[in-house]
Amino acid sequence: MSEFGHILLTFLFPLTLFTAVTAFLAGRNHRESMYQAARNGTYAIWIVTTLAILALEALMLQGDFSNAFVYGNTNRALPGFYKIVALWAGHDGSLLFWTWIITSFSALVVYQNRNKNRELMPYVILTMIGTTVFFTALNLFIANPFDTWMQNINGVMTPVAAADGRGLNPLLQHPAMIIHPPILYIGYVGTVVPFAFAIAALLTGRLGSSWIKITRRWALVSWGFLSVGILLGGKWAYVELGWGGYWAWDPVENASLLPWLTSTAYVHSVMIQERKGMLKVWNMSLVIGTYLLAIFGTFLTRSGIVSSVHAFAESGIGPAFAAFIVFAIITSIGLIFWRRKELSSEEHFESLVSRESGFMFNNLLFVLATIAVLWGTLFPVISEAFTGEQITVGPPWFNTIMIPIGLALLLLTGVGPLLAWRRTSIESLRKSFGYPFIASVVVLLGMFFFGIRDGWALGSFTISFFVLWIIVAEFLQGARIRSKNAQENILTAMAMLTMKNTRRYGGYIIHIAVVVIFMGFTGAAFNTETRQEVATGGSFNFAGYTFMCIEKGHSTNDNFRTDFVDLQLFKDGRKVDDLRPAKRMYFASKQPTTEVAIYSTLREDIYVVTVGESEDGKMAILQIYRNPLVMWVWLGSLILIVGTILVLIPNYREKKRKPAAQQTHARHEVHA
Amino acid sequence: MTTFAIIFGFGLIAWVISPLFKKSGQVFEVHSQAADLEDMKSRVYHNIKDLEFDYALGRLSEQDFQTIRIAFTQEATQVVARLEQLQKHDLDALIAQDLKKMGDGPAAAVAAGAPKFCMDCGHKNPAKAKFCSACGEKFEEI
Amino acid sequence: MSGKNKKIKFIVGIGIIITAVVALALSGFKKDYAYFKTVTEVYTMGSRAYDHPLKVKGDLVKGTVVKKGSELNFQIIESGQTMDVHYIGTDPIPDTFNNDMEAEVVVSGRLAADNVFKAERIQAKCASKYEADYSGNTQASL
Repeated sequence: MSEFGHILLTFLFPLTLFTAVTAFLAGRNHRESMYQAARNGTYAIWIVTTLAILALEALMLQGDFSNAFVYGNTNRALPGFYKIVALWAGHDGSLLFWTWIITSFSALVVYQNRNKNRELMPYVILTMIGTTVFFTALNLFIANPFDTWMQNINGVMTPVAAADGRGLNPLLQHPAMIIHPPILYIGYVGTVVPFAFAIAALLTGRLGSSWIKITRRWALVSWGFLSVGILLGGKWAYVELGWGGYWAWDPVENASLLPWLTSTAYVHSVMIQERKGMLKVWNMSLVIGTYLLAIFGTFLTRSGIVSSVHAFAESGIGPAFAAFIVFAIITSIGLIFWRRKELSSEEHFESLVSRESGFMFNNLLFVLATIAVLWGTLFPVISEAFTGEQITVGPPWFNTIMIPIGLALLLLTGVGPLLAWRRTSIESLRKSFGYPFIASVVVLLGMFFFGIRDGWALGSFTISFFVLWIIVAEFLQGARIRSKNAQENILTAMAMLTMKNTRRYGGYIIHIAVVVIFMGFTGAAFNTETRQEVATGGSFNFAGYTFMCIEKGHSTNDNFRTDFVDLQLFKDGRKVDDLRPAKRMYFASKQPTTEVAIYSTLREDIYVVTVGESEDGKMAILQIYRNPLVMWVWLGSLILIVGTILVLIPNYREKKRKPAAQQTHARHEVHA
Repeated sequence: MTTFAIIFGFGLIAWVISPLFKKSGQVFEVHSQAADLEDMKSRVYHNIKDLEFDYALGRLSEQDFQTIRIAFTQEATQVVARLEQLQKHDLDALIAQDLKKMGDGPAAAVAAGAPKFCMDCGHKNPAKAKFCSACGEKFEEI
Repeated sequence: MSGKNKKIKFIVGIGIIITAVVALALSGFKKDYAYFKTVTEVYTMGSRAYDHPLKVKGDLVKGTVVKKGSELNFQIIESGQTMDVHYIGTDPIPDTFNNDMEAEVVVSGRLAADNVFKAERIQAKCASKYEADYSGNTQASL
């Protein structure tokens, strides 16, 4: 089966080259025959890649340990389900998985556009399959999952048919960790589609907003999956890694955040191009930047370039990827420069206080945030290039920059939608912001007198309140007017309003989600922690709770040994939860893990880990964190998913005629 | 397994390159101007809708609303007019194509050296002209 | 609003934002930076090693881990040079940290005058895997 897999990859690589070249020629000479061949090629590529994935999965399920990848990531005792998902646990398998996703998306895009966008499609195929060429080359030459497992025996690398494998990293044997990579990959790979259409637009000179409209849903789906992937990663880190937090500005985390930042800027900025034909160069740069950062992120995660610069250079992946990115940057800048005339704005900014300017400042803040995160992540490499010494920066540096930027963006979330196109009159500003502003000042003073003194927390809660007020007012105002005109009750009116304007109101719901998540983040300003020793039968108090230790003990099964502490949590004399923090030792991989115990309410999380035991073994040493408002982050994530689904749904169109109260010209049809 | 793989592989290759052997040779015609104008039309309509929404929510005074609405409507009129003109131009090209298909008439004998008249502005151009020297409109390769 | 006036307002607005972010970056840097060194590189730094926050990378020396309640001492080694580490942080020690594991360690903190490294944070990566851990490192951090 491994040889079959090898054959498939060897066949795949020239096929991708052929398809890319054919697509390029089809774009140049407009020949139908070339275009058809390129399309067939795209489908064929998908078929072959799917077969390769199936071959690899067969090897995993069969437990063929003569294969290096199967050996390194599975073992006999591993449950079947984990054998399947181990595909993306290891380097080679996950890269093949990446390739499978991009070939699937390519085939889907070709199928979606089989009867339209004839002019753009050849170059779309060229770009998507061009990227596929690169990844297929990696799959074949550098990270081949069908390689034989070899060991150094007497100085010679010899194939070994091992009896059992090394098993799956126990940290990965967790539901959140299983779905996290596929979700993130769909987000990453999804960025290729808008990018491909952008490149096609540049090459053909069709630089109106058609390429944007065609890829609107792809861009939103990609953004949605990236958002969920990042939040899921945070949730996993919080629940599994045991240090009490969900974000550490780690290079791997930053790698997923970077394309998200530019993607968020992009989905907003394109609205300006659709309405006013402005910010064309911004949009081109943002969509290209998102793609490049997604590719960059894939490799940052997989090659450990920043945590060890030397490993990056040695692995072979590093130079290949660097070359690809440099090539892509040069080509993209060249194309933008070549088409700079067609990319000039059709209209101009009239006022600082207009919706156009709001979007422009939105872009600016997101791009500055991206540059800051990129700078901080790569600083060891940059500083070494200039001073010969590697200098790192940590969470305090990132937070110093990102908190103010985040709050500014949050403020813009509330202010932006109420600004008018071109110019907003003072009158309008007063009407829109008067009440919410006064109410927010009241809330701010209230919090201050309540005892909250942390400046950033005060700012964050105040702005959150301000934005929430505005968004809710938007819903109510629109619903009130509609309920009057359409004779519906206020709730039905709100529902109908949302369904007939999914872009606008779905977007508002996503903004609500962002505010909720931000408030969750702000809770961290009030985190407290303590370290306690306790034995069976003992108890202690912390943060208004009483902790009773029922038992400190241990147990064993086939897979691992557990050292646990059984606790009962009481508040105001009433039991609220059972907690069982523990440490596990997995036999196969000899790897220890921490099992965190969390009691979660809307107000706070009580988060317990065991950190050791006393010398006589009688007392367990526990670290307990009180983390306020963490649940809001996860709640906000759910709201975000709902909002994203809404934005993707087409507007609900009523079949009957609209009431006379609304002015509609019979001739004019609004394109969705 | 291997025999199956080889047969399947060859089958796939054959399917992929088969379009290259079909003698369609059809050169895809590119209609670009209409798409740009459709773009602009859709944009103006969305702007009008946005404006009506803002006004309905009381964010705009009656006067501002009317002024801006008139400006947008004028823009829309211009774009739609240009679109109709373009569609008429396509009709002219279609008619010319049909005439050609009808075959040689008496004029064919002298057609080789006959001047071309521009469809848009009517200006007389030399027989071999690719562009109208008065208005710059491209002569269709029919 | 005149054209030039308008342009200046925009440039000033953009300029203020960019300046603010750069200022934040610089002030943040003074608050939090660290030289990333291997054990041998620290010793070649000379007296500078005591003046700056450091992140030091080395391999855990098997058998040197001494845990006394919440106190932790161990030794790391790199290219033959060893360094004594005393952990003064408050966070849980990573699971990979015991006398049975081979781990690559990065400690963050400062080198004290007695050449014992006072670590506030420890990151440990299991060296037995032949490729980078998927999850990166398990961290104890603030």
